Amino acid sequence: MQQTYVQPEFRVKIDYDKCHKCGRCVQQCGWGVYDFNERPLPHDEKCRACHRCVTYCPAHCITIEKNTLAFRDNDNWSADARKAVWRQADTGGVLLTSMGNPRPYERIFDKLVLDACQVTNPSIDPLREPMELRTFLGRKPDSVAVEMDGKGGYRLAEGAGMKNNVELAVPLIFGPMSYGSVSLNVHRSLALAAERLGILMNTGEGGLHEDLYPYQDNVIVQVASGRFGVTPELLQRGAAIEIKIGQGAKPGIGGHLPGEKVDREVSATRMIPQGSDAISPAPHHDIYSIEDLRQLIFALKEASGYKTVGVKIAAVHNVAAIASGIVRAGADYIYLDGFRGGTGAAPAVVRDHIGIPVEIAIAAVDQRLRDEGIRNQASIIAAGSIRSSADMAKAIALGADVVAIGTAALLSLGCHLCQSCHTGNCSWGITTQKPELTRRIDPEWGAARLTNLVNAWSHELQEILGALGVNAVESLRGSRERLRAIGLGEQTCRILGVKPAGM
Amino acid sequence: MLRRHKLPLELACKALAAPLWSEIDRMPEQEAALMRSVRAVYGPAMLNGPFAIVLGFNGGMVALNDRIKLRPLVAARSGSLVMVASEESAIRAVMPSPEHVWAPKAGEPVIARVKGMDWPIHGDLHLGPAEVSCAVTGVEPACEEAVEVAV
Repeated sequence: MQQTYVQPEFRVKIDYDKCHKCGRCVQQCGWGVYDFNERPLPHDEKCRACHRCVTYCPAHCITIEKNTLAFRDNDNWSADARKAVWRQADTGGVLLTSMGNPRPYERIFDKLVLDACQVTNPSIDPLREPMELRTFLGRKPDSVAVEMDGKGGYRLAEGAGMKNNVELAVPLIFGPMSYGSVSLNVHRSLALAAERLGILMNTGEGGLHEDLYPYQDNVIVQVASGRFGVTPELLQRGAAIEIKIGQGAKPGIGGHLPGEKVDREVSATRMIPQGSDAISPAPHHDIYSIEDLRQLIFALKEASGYKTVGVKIAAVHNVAAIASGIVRAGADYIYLDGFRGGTGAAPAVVRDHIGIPVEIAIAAVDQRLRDEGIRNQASIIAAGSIRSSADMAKAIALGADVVAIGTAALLSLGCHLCQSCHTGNCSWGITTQKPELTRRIDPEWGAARLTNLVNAWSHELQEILGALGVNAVESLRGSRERLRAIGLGEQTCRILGVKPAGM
Repeated sequence: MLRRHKLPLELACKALAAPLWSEIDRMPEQEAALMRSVRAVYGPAMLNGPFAIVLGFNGGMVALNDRIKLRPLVAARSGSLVMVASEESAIRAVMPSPEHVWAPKAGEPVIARVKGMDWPIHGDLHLGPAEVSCAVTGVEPACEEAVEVAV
């Protein structure tokens, strides 16, 4: 076979003076980097820089370095561009990758800053004063109709008031990651954490494993184009139902779970043959218009006893008009997934070049729904690279009700963003179905780490709200006056509805 | 809220200075359901920061404090006379020995209504100027009768 022109990306360095020759690196690596012959011998070309061996080496004698191989300078033909061409010339295939868009597009969150109170309106100390984060996900009525209760007070009129909303203790949920792409232990960790935190996890398109039935009140069940695992029972179980139209990492294309990841349990949950590829089509074959979407939304509502039904779309150019149609079709929430959102597998060309940033999408959709007087009819969930509590606060200030995290949740379980989920060899036991790897995640331990992360972000959000002088998160929602832009163009500022700093 | 959504004055005040979720959770179920809906639907109308406001209208008066009582508000009543001020001493300067003096809780509206006059937004406000002044002149004899105070 001819030699590939693509050289290893990383160099695995072992300090053999310190090495115990214990072989733990051989055992820990899911990529088969190490051979062992009296001492570990690394094959650099297999390394993904996931740091599993580095973390678990008892002698701390392993380090991973970038392969600093020099290429002749060329701003136009970057080393990555050259490598992509060589790889495709090797294989003739679509280059697959995973996780979110890593390219250096402008990160709008990093160019927005939040306000704080000084003198005239006092800031509030969240350690001393109540600071409320409770949020309701779903459709709100246009008004609250009341009647006298005959005892000098008021009560809700017959049939009035908020219905079928899902209560969240924090305006944050776990984003959809399917069982199949991630392991059952990851799903267990997410479900346990969601229950303890009073929030929701999302099954993704792979159905709900029966081990998660006890947590069904904290689960959004997803109906995607492949309809994997969708049964009347599934719809009855979820706290809410989500129709997945698109995903930020791969707008306009379907999903592909390689057969290697479809073991007995995944096959039973997805209701597909063991070992077969699970391919979800790009479109829903019964949705070709807003009217079709409306039919599916109401079919799901009928089947589930009128639960909250949301629609997840990728943020694309006409997102505001699309969102308006979705709300008019009867969706109770819209899930906007920005182009930096993660994935378990996607063609690199789609991940890196399709879609728009979620910041723009939130602002455009919120404004459009307000202009049309239908903002109360649906909640907005924003996702697609919420990296910190600051991103969460900024997303809410731009108009989101709730944010969803996927990558951040996986990071808390050990993910190192090596972008190799599609291989099914995850050394951290996250995006794999190999039993020797999946057992590396203990659901109790995972839930504790996820709970820590969300609690930390909640405290930080409370600090931000306190600095802003508000004591409930609904007062931040859509409050773009509390944001300023640094270094964003005039047009972008106008679309975001945010003034430049100094104005 | 009052005119287009036909919310009662008391509930509109609750939307502006909403009770805490921890308070709502402890309310009787019927009231809790009502307040959950009011907060969820009218959340964007909630006022933050410190305030004590007094609103006069043809049929009475409303005084409202912010939801965590960052500003002072004191109310007093003697017969049909209701007064509100930021300090009790201000009230006593005008009315040395009121029958009742109380500090309304955070976000609890003090609503004084002239007996026999409805909340004006639904009725009086739509009257012509001449009719409105007629309505106002009608206040004084009514005041002699009684004042409803809702706290």
